[in-house]
Amino acid sequence: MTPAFDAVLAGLLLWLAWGALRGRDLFRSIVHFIALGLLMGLAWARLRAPDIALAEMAVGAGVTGALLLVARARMEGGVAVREPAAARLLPGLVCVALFAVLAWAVLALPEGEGLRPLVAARLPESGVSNPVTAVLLNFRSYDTMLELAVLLAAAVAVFSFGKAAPFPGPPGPLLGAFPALLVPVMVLGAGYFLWRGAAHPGGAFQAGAVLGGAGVLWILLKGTASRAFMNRPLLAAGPLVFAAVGLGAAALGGRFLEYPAGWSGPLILAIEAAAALSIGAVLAVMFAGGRPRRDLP
Amino acid sequence: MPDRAVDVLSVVLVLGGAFFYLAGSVGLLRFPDVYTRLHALTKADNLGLGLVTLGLMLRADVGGAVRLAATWILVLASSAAVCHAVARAALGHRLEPWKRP
Repeated sequence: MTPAFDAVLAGLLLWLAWGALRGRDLFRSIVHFIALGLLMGLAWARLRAPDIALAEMAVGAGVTGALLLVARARMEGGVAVREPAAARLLPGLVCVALFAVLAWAVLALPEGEGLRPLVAARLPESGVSNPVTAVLLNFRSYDTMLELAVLLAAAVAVFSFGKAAPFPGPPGPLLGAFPALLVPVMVLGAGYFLWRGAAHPGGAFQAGAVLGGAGVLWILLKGTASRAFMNRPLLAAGPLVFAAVGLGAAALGGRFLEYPAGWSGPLILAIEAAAALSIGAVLAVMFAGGRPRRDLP
Repeated sequence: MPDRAVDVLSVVLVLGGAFFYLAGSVGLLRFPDVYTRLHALTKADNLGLGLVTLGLMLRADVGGAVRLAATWILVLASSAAVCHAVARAALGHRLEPWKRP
């Protein structure tokens, strides 16, 4: 049964990707892209990577889809410009060459377990029992800290566009009350993902993606780009806490980001909490498209 | 024996949910205007999801069953809001509801 399921899934992924690229109508392309993100999350789940599946569905399909739709609404006319066929040939060839190189790289991977036994051997000392969280927040924490800094830089770049344009606001009293109903549940869900990330699929990025979705919902249905959740302290909290923990560890005699023995678990939770807040704030800023306004509530 | 009965019941429920999803998709393809299509999608798909969730809850432990039920409730709320928003937008674009000729 499962090879048939996988074959259907792969075929659907290719069909949706083709539909997203056809460019006949921008709206159709975006909808195909969102569906592609959803099925890509399913593909990750089939590859037994539930953390990536969660992040792909929340950010790749959800928030990116919202960003594309807002961008399209702000374009004049919303019509894609068709380039002549000759101009599209070179990018197409580059994509085919890139695909060939990636396929060769994947097929040339040596047989074996890869890094899994190494991670499993050191997992007890990492402070968590989910191997993905251990790698992200302990063994390769330096990379994650720099990723958070990149997100902060992206938010600064969006701030440079100027004040966020106001959104039209709630299209009726029913939808105006909807965020008040759903945002608390989403915040609770984000806390749930954060807490479960230590031992189950979850963690800071998934919690941050849910918080970002809550921010998008708020901006869209309340019509304001509020400074309550898009201010500089929230945006900087993730990288700041990460760097502070790293420097504190160095000050206590270890190397940079070498957690003191026995403190790994609580430190990882503290870093993940700050990171989730930052990621949610960055995603909300990207959706708002500019600096939050002082004149709106 | 009770295990077997629970298994059969869960499969029946999931298949019933799949049937309602099929009905919703047929409605999406065959109904004449956006309002009737919204009706087919939200009603049939939510009922289908409810049946699938019920079938899966029979196989899960208590914690998993509670999470599945919470997922269904959240999908109900969000799909109702989205259906409302799309219908309002369609009215805003002055799309007339289809009338039987």
